[in-house]
Amino acid sequence: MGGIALEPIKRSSQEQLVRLLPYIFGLLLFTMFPLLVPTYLQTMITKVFVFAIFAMSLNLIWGYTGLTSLGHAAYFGIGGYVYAILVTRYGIESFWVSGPLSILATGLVAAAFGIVALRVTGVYFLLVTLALGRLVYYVAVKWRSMTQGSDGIIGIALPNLGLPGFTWNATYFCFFVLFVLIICYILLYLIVKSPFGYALQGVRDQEPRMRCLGYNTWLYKYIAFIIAGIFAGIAGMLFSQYLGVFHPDHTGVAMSTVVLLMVIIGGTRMFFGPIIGAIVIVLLEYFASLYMPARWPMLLGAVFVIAVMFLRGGIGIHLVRLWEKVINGYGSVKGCVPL
Amino acid sequence: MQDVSFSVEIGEKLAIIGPNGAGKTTLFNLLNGQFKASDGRIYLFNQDITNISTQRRAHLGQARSFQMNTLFPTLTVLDNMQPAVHVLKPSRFHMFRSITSYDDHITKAQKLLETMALWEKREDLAQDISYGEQRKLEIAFSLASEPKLMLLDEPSEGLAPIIVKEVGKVINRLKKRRIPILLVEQNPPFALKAADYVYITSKGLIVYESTPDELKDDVEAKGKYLGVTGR
Amino acid sequence: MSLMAIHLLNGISFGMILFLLSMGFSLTLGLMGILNLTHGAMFMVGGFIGYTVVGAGGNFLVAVLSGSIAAGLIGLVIERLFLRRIYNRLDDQVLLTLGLVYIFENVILWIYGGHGRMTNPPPFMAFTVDIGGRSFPGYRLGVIAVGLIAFIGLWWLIDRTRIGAIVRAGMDDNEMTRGLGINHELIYGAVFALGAFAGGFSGAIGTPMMSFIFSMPMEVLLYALIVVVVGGPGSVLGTLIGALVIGMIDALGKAFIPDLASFTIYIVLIIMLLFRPTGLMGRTMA
Repeated sequence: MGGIALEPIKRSSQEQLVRLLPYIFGLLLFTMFPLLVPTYLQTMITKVFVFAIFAMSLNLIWGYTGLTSLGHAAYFGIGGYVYAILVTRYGIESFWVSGPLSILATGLVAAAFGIVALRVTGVYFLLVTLALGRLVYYVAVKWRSMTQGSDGIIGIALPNLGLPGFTWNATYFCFFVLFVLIICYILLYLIVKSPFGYALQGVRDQEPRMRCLGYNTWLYKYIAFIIAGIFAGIAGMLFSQYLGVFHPDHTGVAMSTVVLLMVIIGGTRMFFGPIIGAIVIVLLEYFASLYMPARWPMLLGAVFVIAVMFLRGGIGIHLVRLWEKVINGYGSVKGCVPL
Repeated sequence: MQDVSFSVEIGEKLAIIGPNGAGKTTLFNLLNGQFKASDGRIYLFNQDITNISTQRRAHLGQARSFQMNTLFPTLTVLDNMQPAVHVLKPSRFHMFRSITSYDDHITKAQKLLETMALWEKREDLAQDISYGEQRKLEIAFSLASEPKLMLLDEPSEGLAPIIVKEVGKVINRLKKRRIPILLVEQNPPFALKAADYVYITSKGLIVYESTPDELKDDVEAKGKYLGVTGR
Repeated sequence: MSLMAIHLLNGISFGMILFLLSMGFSLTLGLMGILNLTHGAMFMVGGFIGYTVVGAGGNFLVAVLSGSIAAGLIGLVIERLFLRRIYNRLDDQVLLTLGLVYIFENVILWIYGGHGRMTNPPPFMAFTVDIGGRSFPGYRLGVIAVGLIAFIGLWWLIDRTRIGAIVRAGMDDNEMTRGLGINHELIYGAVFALGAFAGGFSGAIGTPMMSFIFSMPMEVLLYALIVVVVGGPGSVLGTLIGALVIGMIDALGKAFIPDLASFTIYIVLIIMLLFRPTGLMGRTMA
């Protein structure tokens, strides 16, 4: 490693192109693929996109801030429920009203929960987020007049974008979700690469040091917690549109767990890792639902064990290494920068 | 720690010497706000800072280096400097602008790294540079927040003699910038050379104080506290 | 008045189950620094094995014993096979034990199906006690007695004996105990198995009091967590106090505000964290 100390900071245009190549590939793949496959695969891809947003939001607080949340589905659920309730109960047709409102609601809940959860650190943070997630689940089950209890809310229409003469089909919705995913990806990427994002990573690795430098580390964690909640809320809102129904289970521990698994499978230190994780887990769930639906939780558990014991660092890091080998030939593979 | 009282004046270098467990790092943690003082007051430029948080103290101009390296091992040397050069600016909360686009901040980091002879190594990972360089990076880190008081926790710890000398030079350079320094050390010769005034601690108490020259002549004190006999 | 006494006794007996459960959880967390999310599953293992033994015509005491030993053994296997390799890696412990919870849940569903299961109290305890004109099951009084005995025993073991001193020292400073020639791995394995044993035991003696269903592990784990937050980790007395407080609040909540009963313990948790994050006993949480 090293040995390239005198390389200029600004990269040449050719290098920049090389750095952009994976994105171009990825974008082409994601845009072309839905067009070439049958509808049932399209819906599966849509699900991958939704969970990619969800998993990326978790990665912001987990991978980049070092806060392991076991209740991240709470915000997914709030986003989904608020959207579903606004649309089905209050008849708010326009997506441009109901969408922002549900995102705002998620942000407020995350802001309130963050105050409670960030009173403690480490193990207790994790368990408290689990408890708060449980609380949201119980509200969803018990507040029947609002949430239909464990029957779930049904008949959630696809978002009304207010475009004249436009009707949805599976392909359009797939691209709509992809579009939102790209926006979320860019926003989160900017955050991670910004001074704020660097500070988050500093807080993750060296909290006492950051405090001595003059960073209010609590505030950074708190803001990251809210941002992650908001993006999870966006994913939840899309999921309620995607499924047409929203159920207390979508805000339960199982959901929080699945998204944790996506992040760890993809790799917490890779920005795109959660997307890989979402692809793997959604595919796995699909095949499990075909061949052994009753044993899916067991398979999920086994994947956890395998991921922890044998797949340290996730699939993402291996993809990056492979890519760098392809680009650089053999030899100077620069140390994997964890950003 | 108990019954400890001292002050550092502008441009002064003050060393606290003592063996392991004498309470030196505890003292730092108190001054720094990591620990809460159960009794007594701490003042920084006549402002009572006993009960304010660590990060507020940093904004008031207090900087600290750590005994153990607190660098970010998997980031490059330059990236290590980034949080430090942003901390006093509103940009520390900027979310949608790449950190590499702040040219003035990078220039500042460059200046600091150049004074420590680390600019050439800016693209190396912090874990790959030598231990001495890591210590220097650590000091550069603390300097970036434009401190008005430097707390240096055992800067010579675990360094080869030649690097200790270099660290001594760095400290002298700080003195030229009239930044007051409070140093804790287990290495008396280094501390005596670097500081203007010395306190010796033992078991949480200050047991001796003098200028380095006086201490050098005080054979009895040297034997008693530093385990040195003769001159 | 007598109704209130019944509710309080219900709360205390449930609190004793929680005490035994949380003691195991707190032992591995406070003393070993291992977050064992399978602890709720150990409770289920104890309960379901106890249920099976009783159902097969076994003696209740044998059922309790086999349930707790099975949980202890499973705990030992988990520690030796997996956790031993990931000490000091909190995230990995979380993910691993979370995965195991899913496996346990699904295995229990596979074997026992999705119905709730309960056992009858053993014949020698199947009597009721008259409290102000209302009858109260004698079994619950027995559980209170067992809890108190366990409390005294554990308190003596951990705070007063050499073994307890070694355990506490080993958790504070690995190097030191190794220097003293104490086999560290052995202690870790034993403490972890003991924690799982306590979880299994509490589950097994809980079967005549509550219905067991496959989906409970996380819920049970959260009860243990909240007890530890209220009482503070790693302390026997704190755990007892926390368990009794939560048991009581839960019982009173179910009696007086049944609609909101599922929320009460979470609200207690939130209030505790906002106003007294160090727990009632004032220990700090790392």
